[in-house]
Amino acid sequence: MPSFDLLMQGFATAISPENLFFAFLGALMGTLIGVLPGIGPTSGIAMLLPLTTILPPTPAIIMLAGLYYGAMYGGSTTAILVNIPGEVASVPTAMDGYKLARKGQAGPALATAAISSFVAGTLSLVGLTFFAPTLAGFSLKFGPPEYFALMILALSVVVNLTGKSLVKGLIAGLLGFLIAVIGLDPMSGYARFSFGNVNMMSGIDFISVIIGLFAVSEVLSNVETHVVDVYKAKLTGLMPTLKDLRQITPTMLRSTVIGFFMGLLPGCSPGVTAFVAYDTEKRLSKHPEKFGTGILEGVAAPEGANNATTSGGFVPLMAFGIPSGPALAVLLGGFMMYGLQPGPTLFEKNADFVWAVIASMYIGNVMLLILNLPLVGLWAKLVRVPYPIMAPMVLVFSIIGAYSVRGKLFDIGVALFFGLIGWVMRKVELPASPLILCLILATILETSLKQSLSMSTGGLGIFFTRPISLTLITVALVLVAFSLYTRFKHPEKASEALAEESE
Amino acid sequence: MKKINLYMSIVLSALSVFVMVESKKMPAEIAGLGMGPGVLPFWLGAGILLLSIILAVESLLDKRSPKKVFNISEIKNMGIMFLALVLYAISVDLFGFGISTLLLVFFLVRRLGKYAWWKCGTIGVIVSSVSVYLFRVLLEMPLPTGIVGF
Repeated sequence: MPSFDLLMQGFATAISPENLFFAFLGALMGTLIGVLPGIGPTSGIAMLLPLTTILPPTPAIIMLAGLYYGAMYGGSTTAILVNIPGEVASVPTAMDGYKLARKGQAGPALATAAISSFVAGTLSLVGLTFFAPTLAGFSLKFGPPEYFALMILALSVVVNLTGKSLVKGLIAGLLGFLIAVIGLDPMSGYARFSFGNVNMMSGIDFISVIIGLFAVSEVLSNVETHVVDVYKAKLTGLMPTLKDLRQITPTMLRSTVIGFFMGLLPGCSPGVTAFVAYDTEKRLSKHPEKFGTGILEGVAAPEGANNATTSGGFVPLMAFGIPSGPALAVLLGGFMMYGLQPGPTLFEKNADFVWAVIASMYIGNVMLLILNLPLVGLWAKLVRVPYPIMAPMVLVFSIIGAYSVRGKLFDIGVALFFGLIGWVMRKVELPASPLILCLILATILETSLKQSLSMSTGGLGIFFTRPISLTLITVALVLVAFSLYTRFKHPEKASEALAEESE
Repeated sequence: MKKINLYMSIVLSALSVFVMVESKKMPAEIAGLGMGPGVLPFWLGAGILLLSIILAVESLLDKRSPKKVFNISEIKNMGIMFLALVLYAISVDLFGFGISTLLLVFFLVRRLGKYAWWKCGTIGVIVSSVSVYLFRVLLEMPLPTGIVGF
């Protein structure tokens, strides 16, 4: 039966009052969980998984899927308002979103995040509906060498995130890698740089690093001069204008394509695609220098990409039972709990269930938009809370966020340590974004490198003899060369930046 | 910035040498798995060392007048705040999350906003009670209760 007919049947199941209610509940709880710093989709699904056992499989999975994309959306709210990206996918959103909020444009920034998430989420669902089986086959062509090449492509973004000094940006990136190698070696299990400490052996959790580098260091930087930094002017225009929407439409579409296709690949998390989409927009923009200063494209790109990845990730999950990231891995647990075995037979054996879940995701996306646009005004008012009250709350929620991931006091220590490091990094102008990107890419890069070298008995030739990896590495090299060329092509801009630095 | 860059390159060079020395103590190859756990960290250390040297050379060649990056009063204010956070992290385990949060919020609101004592206390009670209810009760997160039990 063609996909469209099956989808219509799915809609017939999804719009039953019971399923609609659970889709709404999932989206609502997801948004709330996303707004709470540190509690990302993974812990949200994990927390609610046992509670769904009282439900039949279809409403239960509909609710958990709603929770997943609701949380992906909700994470942008704290990133924009208080510079706490609760998950990696919101880090690029914070770069421009927080600047917009400080300029009194929290409303348009939040609305842009909601609209971009909706557009990208819905378009990706169209992709999921009509191309799932074909696209799933594509992801199976990716072996370790292709993954390594893909990670190299993602790393090419670092050059554009380096800020004023290329050298400092690269140092920050390598420091990110170095943090990632602390703990057990992914292949051999050998403890590296743990100095006999059991907590260090389990590695440094990247959420604690992000909370430290962004939220804690932000507060430490603001209190040092006793500046009571509260936005006092009238909050005008809570929604983006038509002109704004026209401007961000191409960004949303491009980010959807990037997010969806990268989301098909297991291991390619929304965090990675958000960075790649942000970087792509910066490269294509007529005013790349404005990225990072607070522009709507800087919010639309990562938000679109991470929501597109969220939908894209359902393709390998449903078609092969391969989760693209930790949140989907927990969701896979949910599938298994109900005796549903994701894989090629899922679409045949449980067609009603699969198509009802897909249809409910369309409905859930609309619900998210309806739910969140009216809340924009309420969230935007948060920027007017006096800083002496806001700062302690940010710190308390940050610390809870760090603690919540693994339930370890050690992670609070890590967040505080990186808060101090982040404060120093701001002072010495070492950018945090390359560090975060390399930190999240490091494990998969190292694992795929080692697996590839085992396959080729030690030779690097394997990366250049397989068509997909060769293409990806070539694209990465071209992008890096292009970035370096544009960086050094305008020496006048470089000297302006240097002059600014010396002020 | 010039001096700071130079100091930064010295600190980073020391770190990278330490990383390289420690990496050399790890196996370079593991039978059946190929590349050992020490290889990547070694090259990371080498990369940081190389970039630190470039940064040092860049800062030595920099002809611009130096800019003051750190000043004593800033460091003092930040240091007090950071110390409060460290004490908080220790007291969470010892006395419990709720009471420690109340004290931290009270201290920070008072220090940053110079509000009246009762206002700081009220904000502290609200923030700690709401977070305990939300995270410990509703979301069943095992936040430490300490000797106070709150």
